[in-house]
Amino acid sequence: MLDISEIKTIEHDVLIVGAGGAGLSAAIEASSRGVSTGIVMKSMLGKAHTVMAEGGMAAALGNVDARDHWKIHFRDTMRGGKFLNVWRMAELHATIAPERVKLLEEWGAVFDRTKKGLINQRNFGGHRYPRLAHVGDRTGLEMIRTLQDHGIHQGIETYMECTALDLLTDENGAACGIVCMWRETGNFVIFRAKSIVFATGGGGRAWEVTSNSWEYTGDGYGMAYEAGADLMDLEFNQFHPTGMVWPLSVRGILVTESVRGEGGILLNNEGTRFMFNYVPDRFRAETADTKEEAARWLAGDPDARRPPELLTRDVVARAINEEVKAGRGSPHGGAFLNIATQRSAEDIKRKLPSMYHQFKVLAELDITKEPMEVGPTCHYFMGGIKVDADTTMSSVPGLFACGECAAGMHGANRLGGNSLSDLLVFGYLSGKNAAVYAQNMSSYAEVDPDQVTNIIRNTTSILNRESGANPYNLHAELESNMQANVGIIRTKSELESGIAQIEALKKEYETVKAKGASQFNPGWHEALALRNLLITSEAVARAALLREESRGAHTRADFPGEQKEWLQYNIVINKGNNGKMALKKVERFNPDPELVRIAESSIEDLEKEIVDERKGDV
Amino acid sequence: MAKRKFRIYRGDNAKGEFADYETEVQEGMVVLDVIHRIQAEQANDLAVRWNCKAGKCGSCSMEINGKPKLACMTRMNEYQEDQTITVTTLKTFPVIKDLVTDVSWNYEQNKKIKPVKLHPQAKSDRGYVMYQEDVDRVQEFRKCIECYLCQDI
Ligand SMILES: Cc1cc2nc3c(=O)[nH]c(=O)nc-3n(C[C@H](O)[C@H](O)[C@H](O)COP(=O)(O)OP(=O)(O)OC[C@H]3O[C@@H](n4cnc5c(N)ncnc54)[C@H](O)[C@@H]3O)c2cc1C
Repeated sequence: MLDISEIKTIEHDVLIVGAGGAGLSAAIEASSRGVSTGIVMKSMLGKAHTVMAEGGMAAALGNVDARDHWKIHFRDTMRGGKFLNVWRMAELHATIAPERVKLLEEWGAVFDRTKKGLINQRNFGGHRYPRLAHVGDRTGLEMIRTLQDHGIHQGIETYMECTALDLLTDENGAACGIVCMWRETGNFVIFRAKSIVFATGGGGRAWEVTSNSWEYTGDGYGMAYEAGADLMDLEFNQFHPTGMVWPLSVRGILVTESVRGEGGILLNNEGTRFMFNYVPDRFRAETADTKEEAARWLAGDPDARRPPELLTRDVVARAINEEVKAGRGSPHGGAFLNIATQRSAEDIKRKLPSMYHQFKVLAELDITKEPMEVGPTCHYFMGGIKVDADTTMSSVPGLFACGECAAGMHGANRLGGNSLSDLLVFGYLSGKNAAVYAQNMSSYAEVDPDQVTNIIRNTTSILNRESGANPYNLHAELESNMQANVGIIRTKSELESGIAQIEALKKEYETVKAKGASQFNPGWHEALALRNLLITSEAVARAALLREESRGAHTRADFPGEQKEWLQYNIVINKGNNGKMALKKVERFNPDPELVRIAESSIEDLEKEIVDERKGDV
Repeated sequence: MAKRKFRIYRGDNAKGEFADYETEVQEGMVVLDVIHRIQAEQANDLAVRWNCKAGKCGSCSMEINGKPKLACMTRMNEYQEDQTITVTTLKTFPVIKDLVTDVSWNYEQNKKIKPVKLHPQAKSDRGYVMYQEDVDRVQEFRKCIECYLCQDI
């Protein structure tokens, strides 16, 4: 019999799960409010996914083009998200991002500078103006190091290589703690907390071709779901148009959008710049229609419109997919991305040093001389834990969520650069609201020993059973299933067979067996993460089947085009009383009419309005 | 495709031994790919750290044939086809298990780094004013991915 009194217990007013940009921002804000703050993470401090971010963080600072304004950032975000974003979240994001970026600078982030000595900003897909504050192509490293150092100085407690297994809830269903496992020893630890923030990132490891690291197994989704929380918009999985396609072993590794932001063009095997043929009506008025105009834009002509390579990611990914299908792909099944003809070798090495290095080492290719081969790679989850826009609290009281694991901010498609700024804005809001929530509680709730025992039993049975399925094989089967049946272009019949295979894998999972002992055992860790990845995959596939339209990153070949009726709904998922996954079409709130006006006005009118507003200011 | 030979340290700080593995290697593979394949097919509990697999996070530091390297950026074609590849941890650090080391010393150092203070005079309502030529040097140091390879001497 398990004696849980022997398990170490640690108490914090606010406990944060995940130490990427979102979790660290939340921890910094919470601890600055004087509450005791702890942060647990699966890997080591400074290694979270955020470290990989390349291109930059979007904020309407207006340092490069003074015409920029939060209203235009907001409009771009809503259009990019195909209007499915939670309006209030997109508003909060656009209005708060600039001050958070400046604060990051205050804390020590050394951004690239403009000639006038301000934070430099670069162009990115779907953003009207140069808007991404950046550091070469290693912006995520700068962000995470700055937050890590600042957090440490502020006295947050860090718990590294400590995997959260499941939430503990009190008799009212509110979050009151979490059971974790030290990866090094395999020992368990109980965290008691007054409020908990999930900042666990996404679930891209469900696909074969992905830019995501091993940590992206949807743990936040799985744990929240098991605790009864609502998930939302899981059908929206962003496939980034440009992942590496060759050699096979590096397939999926990201080629930053900055390559196109700096002028890179996409070509098919006939040498055609095919993106000119894929401009959606919604963006036609704001996109160049000739190569000459695109070239003028690159040279800095303020009246020229943006090249079609900088359309939103959903559009570019689908275009590459179609070119390949039509037999016009590159030798290894992608498209050619060429920066060599657009910029000098010196420029490329200075602006895109890690891309230069990545191709040189991994593909033996010199991007200053030759085109890259690129194709879509699973990259980002727009959906996730459903949260209240202002407080970021989930439907489970005391459980907050921010960053990639939360839903709503990006709607049906995220704009590049809007994630890093999302981490700063919503990490801050989560930290603030979780701290306030904790301060309003007089004491810690009692931990229910049965819950603890259950969690630990589920975890150790994987090690203890005599024999069973190999977790690596199950994961590989799941990946090929998701790639084949729940990919970029979806159909009813494929989704149904995808779901059937997920059901079969869930059955097999019941007998999964990790060989070896409990000390730093990756097979065991893999098996534990698989539970969450299966929940995540099932939610994605079922939501994708239910949404009978094509919107943003969700494309149904059997239901082409956006359907007005579907704009009224989000798909919300939770664990039904019978233990099965339940899906609901939930009607969206009526947005603030002023926000609708901003998002729907023509760019000319909006720009004029901003000019007039600013005249009024002086 | 070719079969390649690997020797990997298995054990902890107190005791351990080299285990021999043989596995298929395809064109373009890096050492980390091969370790993952061995882990999935032959040694599920082989401990190794990694994250980004693109040379950005500095997690998969190890000694490959005696040289400190990131396993994700070390291509198999750097070695002869008939050469056995020996993989151990960075010897500077105590072994936790297999290829995973105790690097906590670095996090203790991290706490001692003084917080930055920007010059108040550089502050404007548009953020701090500093010029690219002045930040170039600082940015160079900020490129450190904390892989600790440089400590392996
Ligand atoms: C290659 C690449 C480049 C990108 N470039 C950009 C860019 O230029 N601009 C942009 O805006 N976005 C970019 N993105 C997206 C962006 O980087 C991510 O969406 C963002 O960093 C996610 O941050 P996060 O704080 O939500 O989570 P993460 O940074 O992923 O952190 C998740 C944390 O949760 C922890 N965790 C997870 N599960 C558990 C568990 N069970 N127990 C304990 N801890 C757990 C992890 O250990 C980790 O610390 C890029 C993404 C990739 C992959």
